[in-house]
Amino acid sequence: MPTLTFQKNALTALIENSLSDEELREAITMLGTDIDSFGEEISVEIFPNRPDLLSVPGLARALNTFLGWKPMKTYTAHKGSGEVHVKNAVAKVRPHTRCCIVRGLSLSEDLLEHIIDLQEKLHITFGRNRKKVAIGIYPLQDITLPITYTAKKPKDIVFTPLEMNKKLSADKLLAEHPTGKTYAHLLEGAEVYPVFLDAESTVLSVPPIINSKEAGEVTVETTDVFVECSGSDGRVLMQALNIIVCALADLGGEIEEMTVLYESGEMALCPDLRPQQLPLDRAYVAQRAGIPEDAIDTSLEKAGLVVDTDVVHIPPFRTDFWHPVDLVEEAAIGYGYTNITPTVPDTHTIGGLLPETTQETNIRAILSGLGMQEVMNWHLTSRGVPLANPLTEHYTALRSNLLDGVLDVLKKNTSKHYPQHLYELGVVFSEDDAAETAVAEKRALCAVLCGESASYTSARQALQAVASTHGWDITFAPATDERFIEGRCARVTGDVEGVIGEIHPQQLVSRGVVFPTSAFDVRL
Amino acid sequence: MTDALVKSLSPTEKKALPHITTGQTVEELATAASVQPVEAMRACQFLSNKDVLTLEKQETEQYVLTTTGKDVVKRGLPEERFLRVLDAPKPLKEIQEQAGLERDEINAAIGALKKAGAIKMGREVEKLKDVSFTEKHDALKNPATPPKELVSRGLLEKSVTSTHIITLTDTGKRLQHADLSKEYAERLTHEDLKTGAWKNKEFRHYDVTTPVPSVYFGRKHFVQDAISSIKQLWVEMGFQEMSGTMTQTAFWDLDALFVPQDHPAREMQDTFYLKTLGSVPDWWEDIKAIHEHGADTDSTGWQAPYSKKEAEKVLLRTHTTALSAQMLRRIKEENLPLPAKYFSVAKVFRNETLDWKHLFEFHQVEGIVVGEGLSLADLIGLQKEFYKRMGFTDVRFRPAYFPYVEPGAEVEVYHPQRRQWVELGGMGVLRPEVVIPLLGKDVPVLAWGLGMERIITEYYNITDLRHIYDNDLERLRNAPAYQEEH
Repeated sequence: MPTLTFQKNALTALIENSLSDEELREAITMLGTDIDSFGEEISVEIFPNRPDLLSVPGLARALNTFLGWKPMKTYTAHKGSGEVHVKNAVAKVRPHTRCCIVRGLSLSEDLLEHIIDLQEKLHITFGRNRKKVAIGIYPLQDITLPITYTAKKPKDIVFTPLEMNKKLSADKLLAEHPTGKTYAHLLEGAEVYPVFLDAESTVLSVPPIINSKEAGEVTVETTDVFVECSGSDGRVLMQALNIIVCALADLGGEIEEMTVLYESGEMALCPDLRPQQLPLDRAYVAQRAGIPEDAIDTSLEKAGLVVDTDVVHIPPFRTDFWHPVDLVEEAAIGYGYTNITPTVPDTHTIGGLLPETTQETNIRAILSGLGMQEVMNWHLTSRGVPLANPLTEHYTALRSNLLDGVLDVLKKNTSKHYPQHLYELGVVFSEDDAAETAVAEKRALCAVLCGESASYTSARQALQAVASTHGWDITFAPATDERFIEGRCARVTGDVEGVIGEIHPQQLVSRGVVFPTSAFDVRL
Repeated sequence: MTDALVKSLSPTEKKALPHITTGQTVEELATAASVQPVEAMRACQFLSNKDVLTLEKQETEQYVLTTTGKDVVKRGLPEERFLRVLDAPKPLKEIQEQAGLERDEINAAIGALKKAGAIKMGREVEKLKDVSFTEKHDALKNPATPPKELVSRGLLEKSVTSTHIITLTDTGKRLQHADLSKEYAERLTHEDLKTGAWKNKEFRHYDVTTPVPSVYFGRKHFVQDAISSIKQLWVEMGFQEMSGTMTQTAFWDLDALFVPQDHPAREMQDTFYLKTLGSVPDWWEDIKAIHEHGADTDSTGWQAPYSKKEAEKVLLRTHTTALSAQMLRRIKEENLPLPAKYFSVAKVFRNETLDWKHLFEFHQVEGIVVGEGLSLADLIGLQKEFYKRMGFTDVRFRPAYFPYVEPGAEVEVYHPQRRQWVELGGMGVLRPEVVIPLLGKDVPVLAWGLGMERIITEYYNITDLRHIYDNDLERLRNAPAYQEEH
């Protein structure tokens, strides 16, 4: 989960009125973020559904409405003549872009840092590590419109990437530039790389990798910027663009429209700041949230939304509304979760356990009654139904039997008191095409008796104790299994299936166990 | 009082008592009473508990021969053996062979002989004079205060022996004059009862205050105690248990819960995938429609393409909410009555490295309430009741986001020692995009869950989560019984 870390006074500078530390802490928490640390420096976890909170100005904006100090404003864009031409060439590699201009900024070091930070965080989270969205911001004064967004053979793109001192061609970018190496997988094997060019054919950037020095860098002196977002989904790009430019607008900037013209004929007027509109059914929201109907409008406003009779306008930087139910949460947050009066539902139902649970309780009682200690092993082990992406070499598969795991428990306890009579009741796995997941899961029961008196007889007595109390009909037939002493092993069949016998000394010695051991392992 | 004492004397105590004198060591008593030293010690301890005598531990240090030292007494000191074969000047190698000396012995020998001025080194070693070794041998045989050299050469070592000195108390002195002739039986036997002989027997009195050795007993794993207890809590609140497989298709674990197919949590680093592919239900396209455009709910959906191949991937369930989803579908398919309440306590899997705070397999406790007219206020009320029964009274609810609920919240409990709010679990009302395709209609479904291991660690005094499942027999055998706090 992304974390936003900032100086407390950077945030308080952007809030309308002053708050005590306690009040600030409470407000941030009840907005819907989790505070990691709170001091002169504050660190909060931002949930993935609120990319608009990934900057201090964004968080301040939300707090101002939440505390009822500043209603949400309407964001608008001036008409503009700027154009971005999208060539067909880029369709196969990184097809879409949404761009616009913001003028009249007056930035400070801090504010500039907030914007860069927001851009980076959006890249990582909302942009899915730049795959879905990559954002570029350039000083407008150094570039000439119109902009072209196209794709060219990597060696035909020559520029000086940021963080480097020499010109290079883009074919070397993935191998030689630090950012190129990090995001190489996004352009791996592509015949052409996406590139933004201005009217004088200056390379502005090779998204999603890096901007060029020739395009210029935004500094505290910059007043007008060109903002582009590139990726594979136009709708998502528009959302990202909205988040960035609304943040810039909050810092005093004036948004100016651009038209994105595709060679294929498609067209997009950016940004699209028209608020998403959701119908407001107050009765529905009140009932679902458990709050009074007459508190709904104020609550929604505190959540940063705009209420217009029976319609709610969602600000253009919000990306978390899919269904009218999303208004329920906003109303509840605005009202304050701590202010909701808890009720206990008037539902009368009878509770109960599954028959398997009761059966397992009974089995445990029988074996515990025989003096046996239950153990619990991991379902993951080193042999069995294989995982595709194990983390370590010890846990690479789902276990196919319980015996291996319980014998390993003996290995870990050679310094403890004997006898060690253990049992485990758990699930084992096997490949099975008939199962929905192609893996069959069965409950199994395993008992291991380790000590001077361990024998086939004592193992079988334990198994029979469980079998007789559960009405299991089982048969024993001689079997060979290398884990057991030859001639002292049986196959169990009938209501449960498995194996029973005296464990082979090799199995014991390899585990450092020096007491005779007998065991059974059956699937229920 | 002496009478009671007499009745409590065990046979060994009775045997030893007459021979006890003040100033005696326990070993001396053993000899006098003709019992083994270990029996004499035990008798003395019992008598000491009864205030018949007191024991004072005395430790003596003395020097004893080491194994090497014993060897030297038998074969001679290395320098002795060295000099013995030096009847004429010889090269060192020859001396070594003839005297059968190891390398470290050679060095020790040369050192000692050079110090005594007995040899001259060179291509051949020459004897300058004879040396007497009687003094050293005497010291080895009677090592009262041995020369430092013998200790530093590892021939002698310090050994501490302890003994106990007995002092009779006044009670003890009186007891020695008491009449010990009466026999008190040690055991009531089967024969005694059958023959009636018990009528003529009196039994020795035990010191009922002495501790007895512990016995090892069979029992459940303490985690199972906690699980039973938690399940009981749910049943008391009117919830029915539900269960399901640990392997699930992405369809059930994620897609049916409206988790977008490009959600980061689906990636390899958070979720365990199997190599096989599973199969999706024949109504899978209902979920596809929901994801792509919201189908016939009022939702916009994710507006991204939905892949059947992605849905067929098989993983180890990342949450038991997958079981809740399956339960909702069962309610529809089997026409189960509403309102309904279901719960599960079951394992979930996360692709994480095992460390003191993280397990890759752990239990999740989950509950759902399905019914018309339910609200967030009801969910909060239910939570307060549920957590109160689990022993947490100071809880609060903070807005939080999960893809399958709206509204959603995280539950925090106030930790009095750490003086901060600690996250315990999550909760929310399932989204219509989840409920409608599964249940068939937009009925509120309240859902909540928490991880079990973290909350039981304090009870069992465990700080490292891995210890819960390390199957250490000492920990398992000594775990306290689980008792709910109400």
